[in-house]
Amino acid sequence: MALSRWRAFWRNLRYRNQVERDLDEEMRATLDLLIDEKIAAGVDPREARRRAMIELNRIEPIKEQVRDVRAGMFMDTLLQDLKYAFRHMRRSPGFAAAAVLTLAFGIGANTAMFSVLNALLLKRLPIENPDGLYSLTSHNDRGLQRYIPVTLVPDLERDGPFEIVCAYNGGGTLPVEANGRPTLALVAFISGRCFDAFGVMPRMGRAIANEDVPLFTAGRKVVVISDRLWQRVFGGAPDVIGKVMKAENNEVTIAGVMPAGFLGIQADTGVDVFAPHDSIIPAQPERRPVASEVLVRLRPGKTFEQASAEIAARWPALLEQARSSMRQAQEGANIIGATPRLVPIATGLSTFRERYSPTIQLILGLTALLLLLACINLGGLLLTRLTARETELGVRLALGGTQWRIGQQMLTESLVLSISGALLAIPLSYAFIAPVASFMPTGYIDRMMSFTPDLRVLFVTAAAGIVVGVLVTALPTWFAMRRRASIHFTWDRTIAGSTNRWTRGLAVAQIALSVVMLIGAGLLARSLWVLQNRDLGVRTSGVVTAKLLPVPGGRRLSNTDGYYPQIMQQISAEPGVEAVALAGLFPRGIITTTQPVAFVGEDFAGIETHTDSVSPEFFATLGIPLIDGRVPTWSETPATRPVVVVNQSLARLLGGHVVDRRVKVGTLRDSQDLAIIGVVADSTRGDPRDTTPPILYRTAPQARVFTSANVIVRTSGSTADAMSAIRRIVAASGKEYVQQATTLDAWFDQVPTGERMSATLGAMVGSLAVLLALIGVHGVLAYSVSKRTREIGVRVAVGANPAAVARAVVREGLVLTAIGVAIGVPSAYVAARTMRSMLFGVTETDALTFSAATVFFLLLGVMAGVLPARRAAAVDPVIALRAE
Amino acid sequence: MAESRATVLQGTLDLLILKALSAGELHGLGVSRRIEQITRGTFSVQPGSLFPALHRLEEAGALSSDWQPSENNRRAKFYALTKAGRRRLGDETAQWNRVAIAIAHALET
Repeated sequence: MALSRWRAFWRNLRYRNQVERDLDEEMRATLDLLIDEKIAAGVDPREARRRAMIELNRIEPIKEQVRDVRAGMFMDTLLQDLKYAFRHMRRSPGFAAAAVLTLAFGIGANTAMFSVLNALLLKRLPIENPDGLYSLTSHNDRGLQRYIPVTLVPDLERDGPFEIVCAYNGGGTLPVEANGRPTLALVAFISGRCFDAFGVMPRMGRAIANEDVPLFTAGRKVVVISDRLWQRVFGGAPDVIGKVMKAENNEVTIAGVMPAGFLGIQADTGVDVFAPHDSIIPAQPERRPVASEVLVRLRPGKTFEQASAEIAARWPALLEQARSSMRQAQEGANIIGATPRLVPIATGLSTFRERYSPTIQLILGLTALLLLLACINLGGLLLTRLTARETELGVRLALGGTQWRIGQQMLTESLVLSISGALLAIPLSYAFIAPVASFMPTGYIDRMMSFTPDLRVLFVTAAAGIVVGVLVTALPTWFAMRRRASIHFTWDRTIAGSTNRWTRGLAVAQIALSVVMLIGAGLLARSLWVLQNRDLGVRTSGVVTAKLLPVPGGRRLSNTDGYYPQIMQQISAEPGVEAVALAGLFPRGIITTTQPVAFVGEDFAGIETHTDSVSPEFFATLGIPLIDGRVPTWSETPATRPVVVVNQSLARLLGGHVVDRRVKVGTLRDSQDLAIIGVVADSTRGDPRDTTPPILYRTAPQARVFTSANVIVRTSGSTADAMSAIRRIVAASGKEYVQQATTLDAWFDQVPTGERMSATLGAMVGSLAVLLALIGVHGVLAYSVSKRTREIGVRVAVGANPAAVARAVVREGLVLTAIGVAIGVPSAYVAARTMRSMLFGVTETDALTFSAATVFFLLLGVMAGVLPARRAAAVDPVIALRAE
Repeated sequence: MAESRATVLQGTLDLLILKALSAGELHGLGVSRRIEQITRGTFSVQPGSLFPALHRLEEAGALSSDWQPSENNRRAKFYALTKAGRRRLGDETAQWNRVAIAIAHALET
């Protein structure tokens, strides 16, 4: 019926003239029929006409009335319903506020969360037809990625399934000096047609073209820079084209500036400098330039499957051909036998996405649950309203209101609430998005993303919220209505009975859901807490660390030229500084691989160790105790016997007493005979997740090349002063600059990014869930009390103790909560198993979390009952009995 | 009662129209005549009430209409009950019976 009315409304608007003509004709036909009737009764035709006219004398007013009925019917009922709904909301503002807020929080939180994660996971590259861009990589039989010779590009493009082919080597960093400022730029080395492949041309200047990348000789020293670099370093100066910039040991000319937002295929960090292959960093002598991947666009008419099959068939021959042009046998052997892999690359490359995908999915799951919870909550609230208005509905039915009319009214009311909630969610999603985005991992390099709520996401979550809200209300009403068809005169009782069951069921569902969510959030929070409070084996308070990077051309430093000792000496002289040390990797070299280690003269037997190069002061500066032997000194140089220190974990792996034993590490020639001179206690390498990794420390003065050091300074003064002193002293050296400086405490705080992200967002979502559940249970109890006012009045009148009445209400809340917890805890147990991989230091069955959540919810159940219980205890029997 | 014919009781016009159409389709004037006939002349429906009511019921989906030749071959708009209209007739009849019994009972005591 509602549908037919919409259709009629539409017809009235659309075919206004037709309706009007129809009406005219109907009136004329009626007049004619009336005249015929009178003539048939023997009246003279003229007289018949006159009388018929009198009878229908108000044709125009009749038409007017009909028109009103037509046009007004729809709007009338709608307006009436709306007015009624708003009047109701005004009359019970608490209920309306709870309902609207519930939904607004649910939708707002979801929109913010999904917008951010959507941007991270699903956002397409800002290029022409991103879905048509594919990446071709080559893999050996163990699945490891192999380089592709850049010289293959013309062969791939000449004939075959690809229209555009370009070699792309991105994601590396390069020290550059632009506009007199040293900075670390993200660089991509490309061949001539990459900008064609992207379908994006520079906003200023020109692109890198085929003639800049000759493939068989060195590329031209021209670069195209990102808008971001242009803004940051050149302040957006329009005369940037043709300027010279230092990159490594080269001077390169800026040929073009890309449009804002375009940052290559590196979705996480972006690319700032696009340079021809073999231009800035020349291929090693006797080697051909290689690319990590080849970007392609298919020839029109080729499908992805056809292209994959064709390229797989041609690959061996292509590699064979490339090998023949190689200058070294070894180089050729590396590429042969690989198989090509063609994948769509519309969303770009993202290590973030790979690393945090499970975390993100977990958070998305939690947030979706929150929306579900909000909808259930809204449904519960609406239903309790329905119950409370049972009498009113009964009266309306008795006065001739049809089921449909009343159902429609209910629908309008729930729609008004849902839509208000959705509207309020818009500003909320803007408010939520900043904190959500701030928990996203940050790297060394500024993230390129800025976050605004995605309108499509908002639309979808709002629609989901509204639909579920309406369904949850409509279903029980509908059931009640249907039952009414067979049972007359018991409508109100059935409604009351069924909605009571529904509301209680919904309250239990809310508690169960929020138990699951809170336990999930609790486990994540415990993981983070464990990570942040473990003994890392190093002293962190008062310790700062700075990462040094060479200015362009400063790379060829050596530990032997006195540069580092001098820097260290200058820093030591600063007020408050207690100790200064250097480390090659600590604490920033988290993602490094291990190497095999064995005693000299023995074969490698599966023992693997991390390695680091540190200055002799390293252990004292970080408070890592010496267990056995001694630590190295600065008098140990490349000229003397190579010495190493191992930690206890490695000593244990090697079999106990290791001082004065000699070991070999990996395959490098200078690591085949190292004397162990000491054993130190275990400590982290910079990642708090692992506090006992096996580590072999080489001594920095002996390392062949030692650059880009991490300076570690312990100070009794302010850490900020220490950091600025390091910056100043390093800058004055003219060889390196401080890329990043932080306190060690802050470093360890930010390392477990995934854990922090999931724990913090989980806590936000979890507490919202608890709040919603509290509102839900409270709502059920409050209405249960208001419905039973009379019963309570009678009880009190016949001598029941008000305290006992209050206890009964609290007990009711407790029972609901207990059932919810009884369902929620096992569910959480099952759900937690899916997040096992994201937990650290706690098991997914962590007793503390589970029991804390149980106790918390039981308390919550009591709390939810307190207000309604007080109201129940305060019921005045006289008023209560008179009320009905 | 001032007139010999009763004015249509508020709210019963729809019921009468539905009942009049339950035997088959009729044009506007036909509905009016049929109501007079089945109420044995007790109720006479004025065009000013009839047509708005017909259109309202059509709008609400209880009636459908189409143009057909009338008994004396004039084109006229005929109304017929839809499924929803038939259901509504049943509902309203039951409702009316309850009220009528209750009122009659009330007046007897």
